Amino acid sequence: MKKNPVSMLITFMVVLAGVLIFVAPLWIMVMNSFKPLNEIIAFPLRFPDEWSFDNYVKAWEEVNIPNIMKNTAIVSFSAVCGVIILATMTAYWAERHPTVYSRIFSSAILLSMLIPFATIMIPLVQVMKFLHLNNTIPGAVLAYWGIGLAFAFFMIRSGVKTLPYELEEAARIDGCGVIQVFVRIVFPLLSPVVFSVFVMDMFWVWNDFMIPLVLLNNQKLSTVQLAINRLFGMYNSRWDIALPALTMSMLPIIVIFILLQKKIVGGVMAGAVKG
Amino acid sequence: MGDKNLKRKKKYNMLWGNLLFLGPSTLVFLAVVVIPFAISIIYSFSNWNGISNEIKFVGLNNFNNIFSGKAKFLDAFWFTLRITAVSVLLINLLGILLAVALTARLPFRNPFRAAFYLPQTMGGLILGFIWQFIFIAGFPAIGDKLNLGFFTQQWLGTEKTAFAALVIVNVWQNAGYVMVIMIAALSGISSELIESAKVDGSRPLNTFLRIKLPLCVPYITVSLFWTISSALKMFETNVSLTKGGPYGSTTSMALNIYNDAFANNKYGLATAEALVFFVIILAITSVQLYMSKRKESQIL
Repeated sequence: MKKNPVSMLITFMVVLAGVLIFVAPLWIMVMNSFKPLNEIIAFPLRFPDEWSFDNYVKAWEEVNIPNIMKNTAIVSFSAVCGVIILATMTAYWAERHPTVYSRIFSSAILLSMLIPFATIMIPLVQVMKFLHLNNTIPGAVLAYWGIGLAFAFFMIRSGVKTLPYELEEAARIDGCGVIQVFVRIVFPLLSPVVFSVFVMDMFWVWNDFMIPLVLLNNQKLSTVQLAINRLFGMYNSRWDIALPALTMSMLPIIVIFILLQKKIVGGVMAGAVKG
Repeated sequence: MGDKNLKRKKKYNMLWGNLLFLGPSTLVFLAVVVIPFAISIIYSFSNWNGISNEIKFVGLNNFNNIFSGKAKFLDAFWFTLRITAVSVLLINLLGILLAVALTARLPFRNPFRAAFYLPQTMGGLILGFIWQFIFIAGFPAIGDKLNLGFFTQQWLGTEKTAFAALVIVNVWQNAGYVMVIMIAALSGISSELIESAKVDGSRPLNTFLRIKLPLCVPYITVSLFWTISSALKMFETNVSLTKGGPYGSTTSMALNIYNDAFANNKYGLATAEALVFFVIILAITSVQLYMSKRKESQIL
């Protein structure tokens, strides 16, 4: 479709203005994170006189960035890997060997998507206490396994439906056991959908606040979200510490988003189309 | 004989297979979802405070308190409903507009798309804190510069502006999601169809409203479904931007449940509220799915 250049130019200018408005809050945050506190409060829209990293050094120590990044990485990685392994096993077996139980279980998993976390969080704390996993990283990871199962199962099951059965049969005739077929044949064939679930779930867990808030009440085990929340609870309006801490906490996500942009957007679309 | 043995062996293998492949997920699902959900129902009839060993069952008392307005849940419900209605409308309108603009052949189309999607990749808590700074320091500075009283008011200090502030952050965070879905929808429409409409003399706006939009209905359904359910469950932004204030006026349902359970030690009441919350989400989602399914079949 060809449009006349004037209307194109107008559209372009409007969209550009929109982009600037959208990015402005982030830009204002980053710019102010380099200024001393009095300058932040007096002139929040002005460029810093000099770009000083003093705030960053303070915030790095105050929030203990290496520790919270490590905790968040451990929780996210173990949560997402576990979710994927459980969901793939369940989806594969339920699809290939349907029984009464597997049908009921599949529908229960899908229905659990409708349960908000707030509905189960209170007794979940009791369950974790009973398992002696309350306020531990394994406890939070376990919670993610159960809660993340629904979405991953939903995505991966549609991948399993497209797998050619002949391949598995051939492997079985060649003497592969059930487990070998799953690990060597099924799992690799599912890797595209598994990868997009991995990326989307990583973003979910990394950004999640409610589960750690309820299940990780221990300062040493703080995730990024918890630490930022605690920081704002402790110092009100200490923007010279808060802004660099916010900037640093966003940095890994922005880098990964820029690197994996196509995959992420493609995954969102795939999820939407299947829904 | 051999046949029977083979059958038995097969059955035995199936049993192990079921245990191996479905067992772990069953255990996890039971522990994290099913059992807590069941306990939630039991607790909702009690007055347990979360600490003592004594649990007294009080019948429907908690539910009475919720529906008579004694507990603050109804207020939280109305707030959540209002903000969901406003945000969902604005998020979807803006998302569709962005998608239309960014399916045209503009220069820098892909970086622009990425910029609008960027807030979607970050957690609501962090975004709320960033916007807290913008509302407290950034907006007044913009207002001073442009001499606009609109910007210099205490955004997080009054009920109306705090509501508006949450809507702004919600739209900013989620419009990119709708945009991505709608770009997929719009680029899936065959160009022949559009060409032939043009040949028949259809103007661009007419083509958009009569041909493109109806073809996008399934995708709009997805966007609506997602934006409504995520708005109803809002929690993080309320915590970080307004803390539910001023005077509790921006307390969402999820935040209300959290406060009652972990700050006010009313576990019994909070689980009852959590169940009502679940039923509300269930009801709205089913109504919406039913309605949009009907619309789709009418149009297609």
